Amino acid sequence: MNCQEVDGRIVDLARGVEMDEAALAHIKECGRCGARLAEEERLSAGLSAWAKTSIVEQAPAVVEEKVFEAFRRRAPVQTGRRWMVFAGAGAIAASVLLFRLFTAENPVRPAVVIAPAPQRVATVLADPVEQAPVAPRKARIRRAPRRTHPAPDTEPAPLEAHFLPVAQGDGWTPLDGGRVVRVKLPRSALLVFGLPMNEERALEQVQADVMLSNDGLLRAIRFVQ
Amino acid sequence: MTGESDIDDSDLLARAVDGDEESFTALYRRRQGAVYRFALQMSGRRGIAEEVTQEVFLAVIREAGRFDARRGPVLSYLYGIARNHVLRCLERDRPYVAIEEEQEGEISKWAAVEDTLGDLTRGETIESVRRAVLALPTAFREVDVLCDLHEMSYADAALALDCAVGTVRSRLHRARGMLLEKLKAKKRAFA
Repeated sequence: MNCQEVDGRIVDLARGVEMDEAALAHIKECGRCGARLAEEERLSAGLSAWAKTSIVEQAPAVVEEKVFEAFRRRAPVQTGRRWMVFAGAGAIAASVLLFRLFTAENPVRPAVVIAPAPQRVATVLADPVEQAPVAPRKARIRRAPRRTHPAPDTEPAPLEAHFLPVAQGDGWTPLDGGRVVRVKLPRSALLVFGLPMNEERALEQVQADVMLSNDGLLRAIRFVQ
Repeated sequence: MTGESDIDDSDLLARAVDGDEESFTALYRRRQGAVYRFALQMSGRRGIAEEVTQEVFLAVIREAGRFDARRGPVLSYLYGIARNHVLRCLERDRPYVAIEEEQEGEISKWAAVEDTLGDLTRGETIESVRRAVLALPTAFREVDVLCDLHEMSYADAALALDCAVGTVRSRLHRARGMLLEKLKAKKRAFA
């Protein structure tokens, strides 16, 4: 074994994780490699001394309190996803049903009217925030603001910026008229549309724009931040 | 009857995921020190170490379901999370200088003059080693902290750092070379 080969193992020898007899035999005879090993061993001793003196370092009690409090506050563990799918589907169906009931009793003018004034129909929805009529030729799609920071680890950009079509089998297009209503839905509704969702946040609400045709059927949906 | 101290980390973590607070408490108390020290040795700042420790265990609460025991031990998983948070904190705080730590370093710097490499196990020279490690580039510092200070195997360190075992080995070799150079240079400067 030559000096170059020993040099590749000198760190492991100094740290005591390798006992290569051939390398040790070379070191006994080679003053340069012997000095190098001694130097590495002193460095290991220094690092080990630092590690020993810092073994008493602990996170302060306030960190422990915060962490334990967070553990107690966390959402209950969910054992499956199926209920979320049903819950999301149910929430959407309820929103659409309520909207249809409302429009049957209080018919509103279809949104194909030229430059209509914004009509507020949201009071009967699950939890509407705002709504505006949609001009058929230019259904306005609000884009999510550009992110300036990376998404948090737990939620890898689950929300989509574009409408997801919901097929009703009758060939409806935005040109046939409709409106967009903003509603709040359980986060679990993301799963219904094949979007990723953090299970632990399933009970939280997300905002969504639902595009409804004039007959009240859900035609498309867009989840917004 | 089996106490919490007899249960391995992955079992504690699995029970914690199921909502067992005692298991989570046991896991926290067993591993918080290592996580805290890793963050402190990487950053040199207690504030960051506290923040990182808290974030690591909050991440465990949120995402422990992602842990796969087949890939490696829980400790590597915790170090991996801690490492990401430390790097984020260092990047965030890069424009700032931690005054109190610098002052602390200044005080002990003079005590470390005597003999940098002659007897590194002496208390006054530990500060020299600490400062030399903190001066390493992060890619080398994290390897040295994990392997030399926390005595992790190359394989476990590679798992925590999400790189190949060969990379850990070569970076450790290089890191120690840089440490020796820094300590020698300091010794020459004060000679």
